[in-house]
Parts: sequence; C-alpha cells; structure tokens
Amino acid sequence: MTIKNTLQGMFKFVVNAVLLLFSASCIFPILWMVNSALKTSNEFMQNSMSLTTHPYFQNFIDAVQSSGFLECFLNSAILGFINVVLTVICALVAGFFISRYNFRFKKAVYLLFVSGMVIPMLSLLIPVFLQFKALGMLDHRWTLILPYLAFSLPFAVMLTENYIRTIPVELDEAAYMEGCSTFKLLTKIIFPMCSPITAIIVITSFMNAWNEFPFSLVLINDKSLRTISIAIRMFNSEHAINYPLYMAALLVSILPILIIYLIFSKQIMKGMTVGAVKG
Amino acid sequence: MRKDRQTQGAYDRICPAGGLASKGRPKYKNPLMPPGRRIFGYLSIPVGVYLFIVVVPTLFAFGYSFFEWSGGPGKKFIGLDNYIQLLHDKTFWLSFKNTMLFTVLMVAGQVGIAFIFTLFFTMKWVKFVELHRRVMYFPSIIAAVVIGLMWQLIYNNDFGILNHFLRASGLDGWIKPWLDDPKIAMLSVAVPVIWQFIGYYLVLLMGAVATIPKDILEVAEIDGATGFKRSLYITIPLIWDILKICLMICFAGSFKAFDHIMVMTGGGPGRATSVLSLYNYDTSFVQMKMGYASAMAVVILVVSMTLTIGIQRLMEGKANDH
Repeated sequence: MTIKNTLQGMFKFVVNAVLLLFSASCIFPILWMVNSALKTSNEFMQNSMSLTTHPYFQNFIDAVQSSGFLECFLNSAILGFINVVLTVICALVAGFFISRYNFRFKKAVYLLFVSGMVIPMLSLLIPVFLQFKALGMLDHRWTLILPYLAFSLPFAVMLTENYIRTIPVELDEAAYMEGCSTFKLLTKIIFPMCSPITAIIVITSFMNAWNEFPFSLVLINDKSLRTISIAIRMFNSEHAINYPLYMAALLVSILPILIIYLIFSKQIMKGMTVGAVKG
Repeated sequence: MRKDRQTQGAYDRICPAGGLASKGRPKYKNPLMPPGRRIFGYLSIPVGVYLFIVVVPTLFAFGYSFFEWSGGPGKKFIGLDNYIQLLHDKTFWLSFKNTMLFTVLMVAGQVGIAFIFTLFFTMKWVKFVELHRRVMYFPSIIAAVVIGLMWQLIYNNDFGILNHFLRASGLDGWIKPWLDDPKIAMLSVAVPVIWQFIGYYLVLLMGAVATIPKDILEVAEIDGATGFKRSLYITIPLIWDILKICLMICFAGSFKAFDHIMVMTGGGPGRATSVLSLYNYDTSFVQMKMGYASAMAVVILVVSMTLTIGIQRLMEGKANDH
C-alpha cells in the first residue's frame, strides 16, 4: 500500500512538473527575446543567455526607426481597423437575414459561409493572385481588404447568426409596429444587442488581419504597402545581422497582440469556445 | 392585414424564425420579411465579397490550368497536359507525402497532447490550472511568422536556447543542425507548430469539460469513479463531440502550415520540408509556371476538400450540424 502511495505521489509530482515545464516553455522564448533585445550585439554574441546588466533600449528605438518599419506597422494597423469595421457590418447583415427570414437561397448562403470554416484558405493563394493579376488589382492600398474580409467572415457570420437567433423576434415585431425600417432595426436595435458577440468579432478579425502572412506576401510587392508580417520577415536580410535589434523588431511586431491578449484574454478564449461549440 | 400579422407572429413563436430548424415543416413566410429585393441588396455585399475571394478565383485557376503560361502575355492551350505532368512530378508527390506526415503529426501532437493535458486538469491534485490555461494559450495568438522566426532563433546553432540547454545539461551529443539536417528537418518544423497550438485545443477541450454538470462528477466520485476511471467513463464520453470538432479544425488547419515552414526553411534543405502549399508557391513565383501552378492549386483544393469532408462524414458530420 505504501509503495503504491509513493508511486502515486511520484506520478502526481511528475505530471505537475511536466505541465509547469510546458507552461514555462510558452513564455520563456518571449522573455529570452526581451532580455536579448536589451543587449548590444556584442554582449549578445558573447553570451546569449546572460541577464542584461545595463538595459540597452536603443535597439527598440532603432527597430522602430529602421527604414519602412513604422510604415508597415501602420499599414497593418489600418488594414486591421478596416477589417474590423467591415467584418462587423457584414457579419451583422448576413447573420441577421440568415437567422430571421426564410428567403430563397438562404440555405445556400448559409452553407457558403460555413464552408469557409473547412476550406483551407491557403489553397486559394495562387488562384486569388492570378485573379487579382488578371483584374489589375495587385499592389493597391486596398488590395488586401477583400481577402482579409472574406477570411474573417465565416467565423463572424456563424457567431452573429447564432447569437441573433437568441434575440426574441417580438422585438422586431414591436419595432416594425412603431414604424421602424429594416435599416433602423438593424442599426438601432439588433446591433446594440449584439455587443458581447461584437467584442469577440472585433478582437478576432483584428488579429486575423494583423497576423496574416501569405496573402500579403503574394498580393503586395510595393515596399510602401507591405504589412508588418512581411516587414519582420525581410528585416534580417535588409539590415546587417544584428540579433538584438532583430528581436526588438519581432517584439514590437507582436506588441499590439500582446496588449490585446493581456486585456481581453477572457473574451478571446470564450469567443473561441463559443465559435467552435456552436459550429 | 394587421390581424394576419398577429396570427403569423404567434406561429413564429411556436416555430421560431430559425428557418433551418424548421426544415420539413410547411413553408411559412415571416410576415415581417422585407421584399426579396431588399434582402438581396443587403446580402449582396457580404456574399459578393465571399464569392469574389473564394469561388471566382477557383474558376480562374481552373481555366488557367489548361494553359502553358509563364505569367506574361503569351498563353498556349495544352489541354490536360498540366494535370498529366502533375501525376509524374516527383516533387509534387514528395510534398504530398510531407503534407500528410505533417497532418498526422499535427493531429496527434496538438489534439493528442491537449487532450491528455485536459484530462490532467480535471484532477484535483494538479496545481495552477487557470494559470496554465492562460499561459499555454498565449502562443496561439501570435503570428505564425513570428513563431517561425522565433524558433529559428531557438534552433540557432551558435546561440539558440535549445542547444544552450543541451550543453548545460551535458547532452552535447544531441546537438544537431536542427533545420539543416534533411533527416530531422520535417520534425524540427513540426515541433513549433505543435507547440504553438496545444493551448488552442486545450482551451476548447477545457471549455467542454466546464459544461459537464458538477453533480455528475460528484455522483461519479461517490460511486467510486475517481482519477482515471472518471476520465474514462465520464469525462471522455461527455467531451467526445468537442474532441471531434477539434480533430476537424486541426485537420483543416494543418494544410495551412505555410507560414511557419516558409520562414523557417523555405521548404529546404533541398526539398525535405516542402509541403503542398509551399511547392505551389514555388512553382508559381520561383519557376513562373502559372498554368502548372493553377492545375496544382485545383488539385490541392479538391484533395483537401475531399479529405476534410470525408473525415467529417466519418465522424458523423458534426461540424455542419445545426
């Protein structure tokens, strides 16, 4: 009996240790990058693991000021913002009509959006490129807006559709009785009621746009239109190899996501669970 | 007119306007429904965008796949030659094999480990559950490009964390050129992707566990089902549906492994880590064979859709249920 107990105790200890180790591995690389980014290149090359003694913030300043970096950062921020606005509007409209009315092709429209959850969007990379090329849509400031919107829509539409179902139809009826138009009903009544779901959509669609890589790689060639993902990928080849500077750039590029996560981690996790469970 | 609306309103309350749910019942018309023209007007934008990015490009690619074309003005119709060439393309088949291997690694690694962790997190003797959950989820929200670049640094021969730890624990013999050895490169690129998304599936599965009513667990415990017995007979059956959804998401997602591999190895060394999406990119942007790349894109789309739908059917099509 005692042997069994010690064995059990050991097992519990090992499991806890493994979980702690894995958790540590999830943040350690980031901490390592922060520490390294605060060193000079020489310091880093001498010992890549030592703690920084005199934090050298110049790397962050240099990274932000390096050619084109800030521009790409802003490009991504603007794209993310536009994507958020358009996704919220489109998802609201599509979710509302699909959940409320039985119009023709309703099922087709719904399936169209749901299918987006299982189509590997990456297999559309070359086709979208060829189409944009044929239509002369490459390398514009608005080039990436449509693809990003299309990729954010399936999840957003499903989420809103499910949510609007839970809003009583009586509300619509009352609104119509009072002489509300469809547009007013949508903007003044349904939209404010969707705010919990809207928060989730805002966060996810911003992160989608910010983190996206392959389509901005393929559809954008103009240096001044590049997104942040492309900028950090090119960073090392465009600047003399200076690892602390490079890590500072990487850290700056994830800063918005980091801030969003620290503030909204609960909503993000909840939204994801709801999305998958309902899907 | 108004009276008619009211009776219809009552009907709506009995059969809520969720139209898909009322399949099979006599067709009714929500009296509040705006005329079709207006619905069409509203929906044309989201549906239009979606068709324009997802459906139309596929048609474009299908059309181009019958031509020999390097992206310039000259196009030559060659019928099915591109598809025939694809069948004999060794690199294509290697990439196909790599993609399959990668998919298996992803499903087993991500969902498998997340599943085991979830079971551990239902045990009372596991500490810091909430902290673990938040921390482990963290990598999955970072851009895949950044994860790839970060792991490139971790794997670095001279100053990478990995080799540093190996050296510190006296395992110098284990030090390898992680991303440059064709034999292990595929595993080396798979590890970061697995590592990144364990937390994602963990949160999904733990969300499912949280929906299990507390009294069921308590009753089970009173009846003597503790530890692994409880996992086997209570927890696993009750989160089975979510587990299937996780497998679906993971399966569809592992075709997307482009970002990580692109930045870590670019498909190399040689073609050791070439996956389908990467090879497709290579044929169009490096070799400039647009017609051939189109044919390949069509094949990839068809294959991945077939596999995804097939697996979904195998698991009783949960993801499309409503």
